[in-house]
Amino acid sequence: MSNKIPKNLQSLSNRELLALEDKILLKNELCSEDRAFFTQSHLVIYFLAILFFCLMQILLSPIFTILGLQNNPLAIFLYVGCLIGSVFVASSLWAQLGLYPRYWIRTALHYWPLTLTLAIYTSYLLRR
Amino acid sequence: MAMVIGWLSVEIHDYIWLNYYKQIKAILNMLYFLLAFLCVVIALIVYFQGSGEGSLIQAVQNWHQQVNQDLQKSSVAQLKVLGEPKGENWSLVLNSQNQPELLTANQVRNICQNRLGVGWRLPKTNELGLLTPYPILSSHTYIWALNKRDGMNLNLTSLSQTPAQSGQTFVNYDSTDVFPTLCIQKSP
Repeated sequence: MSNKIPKNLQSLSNRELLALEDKILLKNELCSEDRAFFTQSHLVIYFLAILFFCLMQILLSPIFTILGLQNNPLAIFLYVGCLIGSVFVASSLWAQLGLYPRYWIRTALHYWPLTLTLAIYTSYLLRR
Repeated sequence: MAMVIGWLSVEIHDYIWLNYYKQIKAILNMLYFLLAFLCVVIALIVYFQGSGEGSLIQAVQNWHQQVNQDLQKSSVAQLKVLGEPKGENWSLVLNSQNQPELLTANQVRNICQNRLGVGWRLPKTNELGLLTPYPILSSHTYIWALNKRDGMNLNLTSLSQTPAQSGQTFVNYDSTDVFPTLCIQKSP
């Protein structure tokens, strides 16, 4: 495989290659066709989206009670809006994290047995 | 050690997947196509395995009957006839518990039909404690079927009440169900 790297990529440094990979992965994170196989970073976005959906729903639903619209079917628009908005918020947060945190999280997800083992060890140590 | 094994497993999986990805995908695509034929083959195998008991349909039906019968045999109610029917021209024609084997509803119907000589129809209703050849209650002939798990003590000397009033329970049944039955005739 290393024989086939073209010269314009060979001229890049490690950090520049990392940035390029990160850029490509960020671009195609949620698209199953163009996504790279070995990164499960879309799971991070799903998890963050669910989290932000719950937070947004909890924080924005008092608006309906303030307006006097308890138990109103128009709340469906809030629900749908939170669904869509949470995805945008999650992906923007993921993009704002920075190159190295994203790289570390992707590595941890790729080597998930190691992550799981470390999590079990740390939980065991914390309990002790 | 667990961490080493975990890392190695991920690396091995990556090596295989990256280098032989195309071949693996081709094999999986072939398998997806073959899945249709495999389903037919497996169905044929199951059919021919089940045909020892007649056919697959019969095997499924027999299984259902066998389960019902096993449950009923394990929870068979004990009928204790405290008093034989006397007076009022009643006679006890059949007590299925005196038979060497437990009888199914079909067998009971055939026996009673042969001995009593009337055309039987067993209505599938929730009529309490009563099976009659006629849709309307008849005072002539009754088959009493009980499926109470704790058994029943019957005093047949006083049969002035109709079985529906006597409080026995009877639920929908299949012709292969097994429960203790009494076949009683009252001559007109």
